[in-house]
Amino acid sequence: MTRAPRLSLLLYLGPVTLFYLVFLVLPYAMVLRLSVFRFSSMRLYVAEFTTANYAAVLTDPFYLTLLARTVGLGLAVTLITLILGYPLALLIARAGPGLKSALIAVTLSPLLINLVVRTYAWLVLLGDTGVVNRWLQATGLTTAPLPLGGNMLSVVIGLVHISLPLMALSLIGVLERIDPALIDAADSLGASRARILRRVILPLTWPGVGAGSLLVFSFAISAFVTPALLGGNRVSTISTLIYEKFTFSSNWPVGATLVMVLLVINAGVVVLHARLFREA
Amino acid sequence: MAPWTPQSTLAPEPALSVSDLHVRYSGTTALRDVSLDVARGEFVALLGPSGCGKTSLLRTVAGFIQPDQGTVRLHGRDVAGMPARHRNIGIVFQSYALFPHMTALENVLFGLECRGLRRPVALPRARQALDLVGLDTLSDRRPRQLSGGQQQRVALARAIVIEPDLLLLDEPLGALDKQLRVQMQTELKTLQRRLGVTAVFVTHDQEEAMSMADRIVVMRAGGIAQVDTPERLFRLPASAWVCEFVGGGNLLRAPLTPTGNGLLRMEIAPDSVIEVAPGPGAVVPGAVIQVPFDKLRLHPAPPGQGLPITGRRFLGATVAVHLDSTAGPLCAHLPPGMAEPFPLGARAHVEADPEHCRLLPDG
Repeated sequence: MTRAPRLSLLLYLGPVTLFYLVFLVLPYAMVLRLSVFRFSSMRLYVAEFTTANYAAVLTDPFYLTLLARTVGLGLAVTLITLILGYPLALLIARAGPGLKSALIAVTLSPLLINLVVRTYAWLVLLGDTGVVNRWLQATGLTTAPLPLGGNMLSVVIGLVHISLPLMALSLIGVLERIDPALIDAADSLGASRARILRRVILPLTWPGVGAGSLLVFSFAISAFVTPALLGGNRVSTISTLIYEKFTFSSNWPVGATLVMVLLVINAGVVVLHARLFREA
Repeated sequence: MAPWTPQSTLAPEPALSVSDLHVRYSGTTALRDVSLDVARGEFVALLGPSGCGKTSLLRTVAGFIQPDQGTVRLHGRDVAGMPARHRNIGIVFQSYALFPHMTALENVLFGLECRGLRRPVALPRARQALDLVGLDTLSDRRPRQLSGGQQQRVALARAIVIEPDLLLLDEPLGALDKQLRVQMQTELKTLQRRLGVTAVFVTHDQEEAMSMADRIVVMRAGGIAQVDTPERLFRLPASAWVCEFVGGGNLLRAPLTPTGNGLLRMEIAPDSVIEVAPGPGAVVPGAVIQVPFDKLRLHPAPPGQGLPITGRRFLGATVAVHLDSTAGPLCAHLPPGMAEPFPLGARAHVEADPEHCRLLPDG
């Protein structure tokens, strides 16, 4: 390699590398260091090496249940956004230019609302005295309020609401790249709509399904505001517990350990994704 | 009877019969009043410049476009409203449209799979189709591992393996380089003959249409300008536009005056004229004289006489000598040895026998 490309490589990658070093790698290094220190109720932590925090988080049923719940939440949100997003993306990808712009604007609208405002709006809608429950009771469909808010259900609804644009955009991207002639070809060869979807469109959008799922899953298991506000006091995820450990209970080492566990889960998902979609 | 069997036992109806077809999209007319019959086993080219409606016609026959008016009949059966998947038409697309996630073999198997054939039955047929296009050894490759020509063959195998009642080809050779294109023209034609399949192919390349088709449908602005065999189209174009599009000769535009011997005369230089027989029917005002390139004779002329020679092009078997006339530019194709006395900048007298010249309506 000559010197010039090496220099330009440095110019291209230098700023972004520096940024990530300062704002990502360094903070994580500090958190990693914290996670192997001993908890002290008097001084937050003592700078003595210990694996006790990891032992606790990875064996205590409380933490294991929490991990399982968080991963389960991530899977549920991913699956639901996929099921809702795929038909939506199909529709948008095939719509004419005018309708397409309108549908994309509507699909992206959740991203345009402030996170806290959006989350409180769901509280107003889903609470025991919320719009939905009052309507249900007014129409006589139910007599008592349904448990829509302050639980796992409202967290899932809230996360699906924000995640759907991410999933839809990933899918629209791959759907639009499918040559329309492929659909015509399958059609002329005698394939029904269902077969075209199953044998041509689905396999070709598989990378988009993977990318969208990765995005939504990582987002859902790391989300904080939505589970904190919509989950009431009953739902704890890794994120909300990390917050709790760093604030109310001031157990920084365990909080840092949870951060590292979340990081490892996310990294694992990225690796899994890379393996599954290497072909594409 | 299995649905993919060609309906060859039916009456001798045309394989494809299109009548009075009109297609409009979003305000513009893509096809107007198109009627065409294609006989069983015939190889017909739809030829025209881009936007002339040839692809719209192909897509309407395929079932991708529903006509606003008119009928499409396949082997006598009106297919109005019939979805493409039930028409049993094999299509080779311009982009080949091979399924990128399937191997060559899987691509070819797809149509058989759609017909509900089980693997043990479908597999030998797919292999045979690949064999037919000379690709049996590459059947496990994905499309992106194949060259353009190889992809083209897979597309062809995929279209013929379903034993279609009609084969449609949309600019099938457009993406290939010249040498491969000529080779594929021959192969395609041979294969079509061998299978006896009726084929309609779209092209904007008049040489390609001429070298492959039994008949050529020249299309212009959504309508059919002329339908004829390549040779007749070349020699006897129906209009000046068709003549120009197929390269059928020089077109001379100037006033016509009757001569004493029943001919019409056109002045092409102060001292040169071309004469033509009026032919049947009245002479249309603004008529044009067609003179084939190889029917012009040149004689050296002294300075100030005849027509100026404005250019020369070596074409291999002939030399094209270009001249300027008051009725428009002229081009004479001469054997190389005969072109010697006509260098660039010299002058020449031009003549042509009246029986080689034709009167054509302009436009």
